[in-house]
Amino acid sequence: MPEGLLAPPTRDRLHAAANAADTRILSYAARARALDFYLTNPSGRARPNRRWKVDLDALAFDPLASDAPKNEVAFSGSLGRAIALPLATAAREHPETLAQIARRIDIERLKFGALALGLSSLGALVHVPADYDVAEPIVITYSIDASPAFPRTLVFLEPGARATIIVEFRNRSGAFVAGTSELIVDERAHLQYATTQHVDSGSVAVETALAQVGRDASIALASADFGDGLIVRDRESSLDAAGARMEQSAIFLPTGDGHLDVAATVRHAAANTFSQTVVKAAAGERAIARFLGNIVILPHAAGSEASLRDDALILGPKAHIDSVPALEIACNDVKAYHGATIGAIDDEQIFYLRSRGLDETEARRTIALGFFEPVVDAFPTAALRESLTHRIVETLR
Amino acid sequence: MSETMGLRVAGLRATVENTEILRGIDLVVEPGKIHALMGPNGSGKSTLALSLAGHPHYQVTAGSATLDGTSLLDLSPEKRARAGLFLSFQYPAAIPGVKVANFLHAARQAVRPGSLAPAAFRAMLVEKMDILGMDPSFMGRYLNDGFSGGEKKRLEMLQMAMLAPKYAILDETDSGLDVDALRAVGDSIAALRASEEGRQAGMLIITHYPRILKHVTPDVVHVMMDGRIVLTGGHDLAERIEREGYDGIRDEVGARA
Repeated sequence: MPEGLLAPPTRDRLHAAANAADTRILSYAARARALDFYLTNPSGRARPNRRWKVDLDALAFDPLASDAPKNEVAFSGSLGRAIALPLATAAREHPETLAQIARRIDIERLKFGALALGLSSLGALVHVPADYDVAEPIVITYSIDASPAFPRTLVFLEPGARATIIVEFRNRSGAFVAGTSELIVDERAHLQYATTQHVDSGSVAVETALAQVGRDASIALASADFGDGLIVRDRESSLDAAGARMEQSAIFLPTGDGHLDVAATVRHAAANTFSQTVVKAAAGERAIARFLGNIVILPHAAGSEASLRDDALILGPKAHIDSVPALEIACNDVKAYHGATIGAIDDEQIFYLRSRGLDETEARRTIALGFFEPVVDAFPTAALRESLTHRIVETLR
Repeated sequence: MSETMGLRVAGLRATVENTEILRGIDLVVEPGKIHALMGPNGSGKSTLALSLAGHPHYQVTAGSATLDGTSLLDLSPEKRARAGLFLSFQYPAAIPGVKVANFLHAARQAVRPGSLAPAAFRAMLVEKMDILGMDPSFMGRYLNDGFSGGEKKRLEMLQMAMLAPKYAILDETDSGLDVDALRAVGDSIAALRASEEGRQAGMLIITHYPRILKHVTPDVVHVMMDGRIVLTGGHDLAERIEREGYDGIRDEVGARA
């Protein structure tokens, strides 16, 4: 928990914080409504028991310290005709774009989405016009010095647009960060969206992500989470029109007393939609990782295909990984696959590498790196892949 | 030749899960010589190979094993490899996500540090793969992951060629191979022995069937039964096994004992 706070914030404190937030982005009334939703609705993951130490419905933070001006968002990459702006600037210069996103992405219906909506003054908007291809990746960097922070990342790709977006967080130690990703990928557009996060002990990072994918459009989501703090992700992708595609890849590598809790839902809401989920989780020391993978195929989604692959590697005797897949299929003419493996590093693999001159530590590291390799490959840019590999190596050291 | 040179095994006893499998093995593989170790299933051939390589499931209870004077039994598996011992596995482990090229480079660096510049390493790799009839696409595949039996054995031979050990133990490298793959294994051994690094390599070829010995001519043939070497001879011993099987030898040895 962040220092000095043991209890979740009261309604009065939340409303006082909403009042102090940037009402150019969202009116006070809308903020207050969102916060009431946050207070009265469960996250769906509040079954505390001995294993799940964290009750997500009772997270403690001080809302009145929210979004201090010390927190910043910066952009890099050549934009061409695309727009990338801090949310406050976007609210002033492009209010119609924000309104359009708000009409289509209902982030408020998810508990932590509502929290971010209610308290956020920090964020980013990326808007790519129709049929425009942003050749270079756009890197969004959040520097979080003041806690708590509620960064919202809004992305709107018009029909036929293409972009790669990398979101990086530089959070100060002990920070409480609850942000959103609100993504619209219109017909024929393609978005690659990658996030990496390292959360240290005592820090909390929560992400609520909603993606809407249009006809013959595609989205590729990649996330990599490290550290010994608490990371919660709640991601939902809606394949709303025929031919929509989604690929998501995730790396989980919690260490120490780290706790990672990720729910990823894919909704196949139209015919001939395609989704593929690949998760590679490894937990060391006393770390806990939980992955809830939901595939929902609605009645009119004939010809759709969904696959869910989830592999877990236990690196410490007290580490724990739970993988909970769920397939909810209401249509006959579909293909859905699910596969999961869980285990420790095999002694025969270690011996094989040692017999080739690698010492035991190097052998374990090689095997663990290999375990993550296919998912590292799903990240954009060679530099990012290299830094991920480096981080995996450092974590396994 | 010095008294200490060679892969020298004396009075070696080993157990697996408290069952004694090796019951006093004496064997000397001299530098540059090829020994064949033959014997029926369950005679302890693989146990000998894995015990020498340092597999943690095998407990050596008595005897000694030295490599050019260095005692192997006190060394970790990786130090045995660095001392110049190579084991071609009967069942190589698959390691998904680890590319063959990267692994070979890491292994070469571990066993012979700093001995090859990257360009020279690549040139050597291309040459050795050509000898083994391996497609260049092998390099980008994951180590033994989804490999056929023949592909795994070729990769073991490629590793042997790239690591250029002082002594190599080939544990049933020939089993499950078709004629072409068998020939490739033979060619690979010949190429290693023709190379600067491998000219003095000693080999212990463990096999169930004599057919690999048509491609590699051993200097010495041993027959192992019930955890002991019961007969040692020249190449003609392998031919005799092909004609008579192991039963004749068992009768002879049994009669002698």
